[in-house]
Amino acid sequence: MITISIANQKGGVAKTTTALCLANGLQECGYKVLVIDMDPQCNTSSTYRAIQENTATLYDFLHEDCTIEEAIQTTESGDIISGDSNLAGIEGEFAAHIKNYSLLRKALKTIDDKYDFAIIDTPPNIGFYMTSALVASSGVIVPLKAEKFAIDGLAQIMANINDAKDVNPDLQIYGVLLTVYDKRTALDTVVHDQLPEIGKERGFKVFKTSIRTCQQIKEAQSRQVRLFDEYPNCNAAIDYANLIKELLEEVKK
Amino acid sequence: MKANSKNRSGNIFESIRKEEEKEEKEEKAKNNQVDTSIKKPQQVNMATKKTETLAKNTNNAETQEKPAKTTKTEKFAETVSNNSGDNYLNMPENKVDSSVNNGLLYITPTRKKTRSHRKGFLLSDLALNNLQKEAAKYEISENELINQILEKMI
Repeated sequence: MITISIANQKGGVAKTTTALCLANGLQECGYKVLVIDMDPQCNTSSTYRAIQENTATLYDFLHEDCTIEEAIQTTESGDIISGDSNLAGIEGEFAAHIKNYSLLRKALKTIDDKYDFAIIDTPPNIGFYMTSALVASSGVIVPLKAEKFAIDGLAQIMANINDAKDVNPDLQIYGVLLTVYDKRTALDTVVHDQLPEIGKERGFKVFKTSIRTCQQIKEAQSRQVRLFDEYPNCNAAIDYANLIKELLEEVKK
Repeated sequence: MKANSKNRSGNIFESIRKEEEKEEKEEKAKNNQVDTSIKKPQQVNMATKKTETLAKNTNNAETQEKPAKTTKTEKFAETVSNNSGDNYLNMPENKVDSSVNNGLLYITPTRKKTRSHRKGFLLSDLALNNLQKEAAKYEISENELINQILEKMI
């Protein structure tokens, strides 16, 4: 099983969208995919229509009240370990015990043969949840929006990923992914053109594919449907399909 | 200050690595302990071999085929059967733990109880109707009725 974290401490860079579309696209390619929603905002879980009440969620798993298999919910959109709004206030509680950081990594090893890919959606901060995800992952995709603050934060997330290699030496940066790309905007074009150069200088890969801004993504999310099912010909679906091609080549290396 | 902030995230990962290494060492230590306990069956095998050798020497074919433990049990059973009076097997001090005799280890998987404040339960329609009727009968809430039933049970 290849575990991919979608991580960036900056909010609003399309982490959840990328996680959802990546999972959806990989399923379309015939892969068995498990989605893990580590973001207490639970947007991925709600899009999957996962249940949080009276059902084992990530909260129960991290409290060691259930096994990882018991926390997996099978929905129409696919298998998911649902996030839980209760996770928001107790990050410090988990972080207080160092052994908790390895819980996910160890648990994923037990279901290694059941899925081809695990996609982890992380919250927009470098805390317990994101650190656990990095410890458990084979690689990271860093979504990036062409905004000053997002670009400024890139160095920080890269440093954090490199630090994570101390625990997880096999951790790779699959690439930085430019999202919500609008070629009509000057800044977007500049970032789009210069990002590969910056990547070369700083030693990280940038995906050739950029995800164009697309109204259908918003529609799919609001209707809680899968992008590839409902809008397979929209710009974002085409871009995510190209991203998956690139990613699969990267993973095979 | 910059160096400190950079080291901060690094320190977390370093701590995680150290914790994992510590756990690995503990697991190895545990495995070693298990290994020593595994020696017991080996010792039993040794005992079996010794018995077999002894059996060969004495040309006792029956003893040769049976492992040492079975022989012991049979001997015990013989003693019991020879005794025409009380049934020794029924006496508490002579009760044989069959699981130990079979050389089997029964592992009961344990699972921590789910936190009560997190987990609820769903009543069937029939149970819910009955509960509501009973609660209405005594003019108390369903929760109060459940509380009282549970209190009386204890």
